[in-house]
Amino acid sequence: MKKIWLMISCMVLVCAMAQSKVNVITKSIVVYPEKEAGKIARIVFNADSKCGLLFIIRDSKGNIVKTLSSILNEAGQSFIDWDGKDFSGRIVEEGDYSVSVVTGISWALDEKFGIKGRIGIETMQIKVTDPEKIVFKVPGEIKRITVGETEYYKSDNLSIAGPNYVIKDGNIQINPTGGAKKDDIVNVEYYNPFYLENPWAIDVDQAGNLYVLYKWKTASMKYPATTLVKVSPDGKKIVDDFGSDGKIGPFSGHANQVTVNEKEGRIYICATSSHGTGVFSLKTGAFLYEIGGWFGSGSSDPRTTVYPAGIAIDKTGTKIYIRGFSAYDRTKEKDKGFLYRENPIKHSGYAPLIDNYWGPSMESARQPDCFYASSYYSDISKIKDTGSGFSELYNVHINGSPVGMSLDADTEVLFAALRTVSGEIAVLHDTGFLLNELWRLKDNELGPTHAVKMIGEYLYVVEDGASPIGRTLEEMKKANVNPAGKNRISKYRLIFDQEKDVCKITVKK
Amino acid sequence: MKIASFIAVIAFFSGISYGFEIEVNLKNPSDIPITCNISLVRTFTDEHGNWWPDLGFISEGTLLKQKPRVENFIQPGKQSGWIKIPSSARILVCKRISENPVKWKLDVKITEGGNTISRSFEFSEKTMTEYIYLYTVPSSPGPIRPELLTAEEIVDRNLEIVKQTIKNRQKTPEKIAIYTDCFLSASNPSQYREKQYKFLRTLGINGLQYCDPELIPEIMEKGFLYFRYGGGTIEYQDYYKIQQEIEPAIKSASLNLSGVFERYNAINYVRNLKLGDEISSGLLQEYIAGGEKTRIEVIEYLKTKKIQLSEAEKIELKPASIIRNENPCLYYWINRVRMERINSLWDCAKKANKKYFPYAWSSPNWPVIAYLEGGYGGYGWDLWHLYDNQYLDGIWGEDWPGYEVWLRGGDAYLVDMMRCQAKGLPVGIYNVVEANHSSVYARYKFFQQLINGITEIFWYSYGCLRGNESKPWEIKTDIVREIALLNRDAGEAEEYLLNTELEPASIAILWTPAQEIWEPEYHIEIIALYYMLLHSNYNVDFISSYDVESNRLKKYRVLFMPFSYVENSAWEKIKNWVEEGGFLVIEGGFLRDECNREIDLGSWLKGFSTKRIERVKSVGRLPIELPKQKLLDSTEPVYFPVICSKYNLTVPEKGKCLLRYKDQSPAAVQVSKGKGAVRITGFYQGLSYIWDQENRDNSKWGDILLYHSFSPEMRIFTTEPAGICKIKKVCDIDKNLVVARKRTGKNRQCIAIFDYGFGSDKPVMPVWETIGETTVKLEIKQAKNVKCLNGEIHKDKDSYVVKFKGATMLLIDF
Repeated sequence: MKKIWLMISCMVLVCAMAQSKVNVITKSIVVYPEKEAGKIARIVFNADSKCGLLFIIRDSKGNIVKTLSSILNEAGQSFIDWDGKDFSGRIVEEGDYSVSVVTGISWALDEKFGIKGRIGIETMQIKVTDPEKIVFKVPGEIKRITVGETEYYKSDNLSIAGPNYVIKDGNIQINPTGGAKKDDIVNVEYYNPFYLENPWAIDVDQAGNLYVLYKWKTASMKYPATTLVKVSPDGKKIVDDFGSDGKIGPFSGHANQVTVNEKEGRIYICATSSHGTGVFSLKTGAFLYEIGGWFGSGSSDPRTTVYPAGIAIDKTGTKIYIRGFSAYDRTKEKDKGFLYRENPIKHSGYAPLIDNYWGPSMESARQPDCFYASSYYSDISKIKDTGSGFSELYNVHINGSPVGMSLDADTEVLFAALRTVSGEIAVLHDTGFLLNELWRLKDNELGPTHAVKMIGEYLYVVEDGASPIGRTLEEMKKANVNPAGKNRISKYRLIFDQEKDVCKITVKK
Repeated sequence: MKIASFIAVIAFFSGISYGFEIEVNLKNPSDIPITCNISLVRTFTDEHGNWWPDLGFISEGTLLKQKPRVENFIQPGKQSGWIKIPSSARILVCKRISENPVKWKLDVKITEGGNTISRSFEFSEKTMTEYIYLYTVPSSPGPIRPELLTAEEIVDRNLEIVKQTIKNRQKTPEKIAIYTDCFLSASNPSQYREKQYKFLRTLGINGLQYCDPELIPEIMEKGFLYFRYGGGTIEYQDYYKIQQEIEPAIKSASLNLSGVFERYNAINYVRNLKLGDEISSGLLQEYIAGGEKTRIEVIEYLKTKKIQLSEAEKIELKPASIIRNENPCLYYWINRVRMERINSLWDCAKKANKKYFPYAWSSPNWPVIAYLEGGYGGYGWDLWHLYDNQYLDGIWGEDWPGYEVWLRGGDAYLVDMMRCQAKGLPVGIYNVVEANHSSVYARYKFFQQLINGITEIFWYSYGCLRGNESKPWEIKTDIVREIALLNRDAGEAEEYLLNTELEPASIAILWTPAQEIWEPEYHIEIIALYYMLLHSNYNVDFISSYDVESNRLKKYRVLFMPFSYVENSAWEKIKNWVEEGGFLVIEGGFLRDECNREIDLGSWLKGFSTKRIERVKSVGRLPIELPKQKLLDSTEPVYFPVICSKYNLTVPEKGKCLLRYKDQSPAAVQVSKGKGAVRITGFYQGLSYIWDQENRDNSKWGDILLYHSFSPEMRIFTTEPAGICKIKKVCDIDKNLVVARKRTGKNRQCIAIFDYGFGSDKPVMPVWETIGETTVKLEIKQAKNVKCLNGEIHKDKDSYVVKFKGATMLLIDF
């Protein structure tokens, strides 16, 4: 083989943010939650710059009982109050509680995962030295080969060999009659380590297996189809002992969000077909039944879940909330579990501005009757199920169009994928009465992100891969939203800049 | 039922036309207008265009051939007046279209042969659809008369029949699965479903096939224990594919089905999964048309099996007829590969299902066509490839509804054959008792199945429970009654059946792939020969060349080779077995190997030679066409007809001539060989046995099913080797055509006795009213307790005297 320039895109492994310095002045305090006097513990602190702070209160066993957050717009002294109640609003037991403060967050790619921390599309470029012999190897399934404007190969073609190239013994030879000249650059996009086109949504089980929805389309297809693939925890292979060779689907509907419930042994996939939410076996991938869908008189029928863009399940009960919004008993199929529907709700009436109405856009809150929804207006809202309808509790505007979200239920920290040109993840804290955007995670190598999943100390970030078309594309351009990501999933390890035991609180009744 | 009236019933129902007129009058007694429609429907159509009734099981999904509707808008307090309905179906579907929940009424009038019956129906405001059956009760005394009944009334009537039948007999099977099909749907009114469940459970059914998945929870709640479904299955078109080609679809089907049951937490209720329906080897010509793919497969097979063809036998694919003549060895091996390739397909399906249904066993429906048609041509027999139980969990038999055969023991043959193929694996079977069959038939079949260790039994709902396709409006009360009793027999017997084993056979009948490939027609001799062994009360196993080559021959003392083709490798082992003391019976007078080369019997049996006199190619189907074959000759001193094939023999050195043709040339010879002996007949004994009784009886009973007068002399001659080898009969029953099957366990024994003579020396109709009582004496030593199902038993000194009609079963505790 002649000399070939091989340029694999570099990846920034660690992106850190400048951290603020915080000095907590309150070192010890007693709180009497049940009494009129002394029912609030006020923690006073100084910060040397504007910052977002997350306070974590732990009991004597180290369990997190409550988190608090504060955003300082300028350096100086401030405080935060705790009323002695835990996440569920109950007064905690008497005893000593420690307070830690998180001043910032950074992340690093987990290089053990996939190919140096990522799976999906990679690119390589080859400089043409001899147009008669453009021969090279590609380590994964090819998506596209182009030289300048000329497309030599496209996976949509579904053919093994075309007029412009030949694959033999793993080598690809570009046909010299294709017009490539010396010093041209051959651009190769390929899937690594396995086919993963346009990843869309993700969930991860406790063992670390990834459940990824990806969308694909061939030249003969009018609309894309969606498939769910189960990926091994190391991101190196498809778990073929699941579904049909590791996959379930394809779904002809615009499947948008996947939620795994290990307690129930179920996978919920939003919009599998006929606007319904498919329920599948977590163990085998078998289809079990569908919730909602298209009924009676169609979209005007209250039971219909039309183009649902997201789902959230109530983790202690049997409800499922489907974007629109509708509440269903998720143990019952089709319309049998229909409870009520309310639409639209201020700020949350529409799915985010991404690929028409479709995107992973809901996430269960820690409270069983609440969920988060990202919205058309670049907001994230917290919605409460009132038992007969839905009510928006509060919302926050997020620059960058939030799409998929993932909640770390231990801390009530919410991660939201953003459609910014250089991929960013918003990190918010749900205080119980508002959503504080504390920090942003940034990686210059990321494009627009589409979904996230926080599990343990890891954050999976999904960059989709296909541009929308028509009105949606125009609207996105107007809103300065990048239409497509880089077609990858990355796994990051999160690093919280945390100062422990900055304060002790004694609870007495 | 008297014979005369039975015939009259057949005559009445033999016409397909519907000689009646039907009129309806819709009434609206409410104070709001309603719209309703009436239509006559058929419900279920088979591939022959016959329709089945789904009596009492009707669901929207099964309504076929719906006639044009009569739709009416009726003002409050008004009626439509009499409307004539095209009368070519038997179920009236009465629908209220308007949503308002109002009561409405319908008068129905049928005029048939000048007689009119009518009835008024009132429909509740709760139901939108009602079904009315134009129903006939053929077993009522007096002239046949139509009735008008609702679906629920039919179920009620059946339930009452069953309740009256099973008084004091509550125990139904729990470990033996008794299935039927379930056509209920979730759209049926719940009270109606309740009635159906109650009826089926009272009948003794504990398993259902292909129910509406939505009904799974309530079916389990009603006490049904088992489900049978089609999991990942192989279809006919799959046969020519390779495993990798069919795998995704099979996995997907199994996965999808598992989801249905996982949803209801009912995976472990699925007891059996169907892998395919009557699928066996494809046609040779089409297999050869596979070209290079086929050629490579054959080469790989030969390489794996370490089989070397000669230089002349190049693996070159040509049309089958050319290969057959030019390269017979290759012809044989291509066929072997063709026959065996399905194993990998079954294996693939089995494994896919096992993954998702770990508690279920998978089985194809055994291709009964083989049994009917007698072999080759892409059908059947090939499930001998169950050998070593490598590829299947078990098999499921499609019962042969050939009524004219069962009187000979056809059912015994079927289940014995399945038992031998499955070798300890589970076996299931469909039972068809058509409406024009006697309920006696059900008992013979059922007891044969139970005593042979079949643990999954399916009562086809058509015929058995709901009339049959040509006479679907009948209510077969006698069959329903019989099934209710039989299911209870199974309930009482199941601990005896499941804790015992069939006594091992010392006689074997050989099957060979070579015969199937070279001369499949003569396979029917297996069945015919089996009848003689059955009627002589000997246990018999069916074995194959595979068994012989795996050295499983040594446990037998007598081996029948009921035809002429055998693989050389198997033949070498058979010769050794004879030298070691086995008694071999070769029928037909000659042997040829897998490459269609003559096997020189004279070099093994000095002085023996054979000469073909006449041999027909088309033997014909056993029960129907065989008796039409012309007589070639007969034998002496015992009169045995010789048909289909006649070979002259020479008597080997130190051998003897047992039978001669009329011209006095030897027809059967016997000679000692080593420690054993060889008997060779120049004709086929079984075929003669079948032909003979027809010829001699000439009873003019014609088509009315009377084939039970066989020649005892012929049986004695044919089974003489068993006597020479001192093989014991199953029970020492000294009655013509009365045979027993025995299962023995640690402290239990179970004996089923069948009278294939129906308690009479003369032909009788096989209905309970006309068959005679049979009395047999049995020696049962040291029994603590003996119970007799369907008969009476009392102790008489050292033995027991059993009185029964048709078939009985003894349950014995030691």
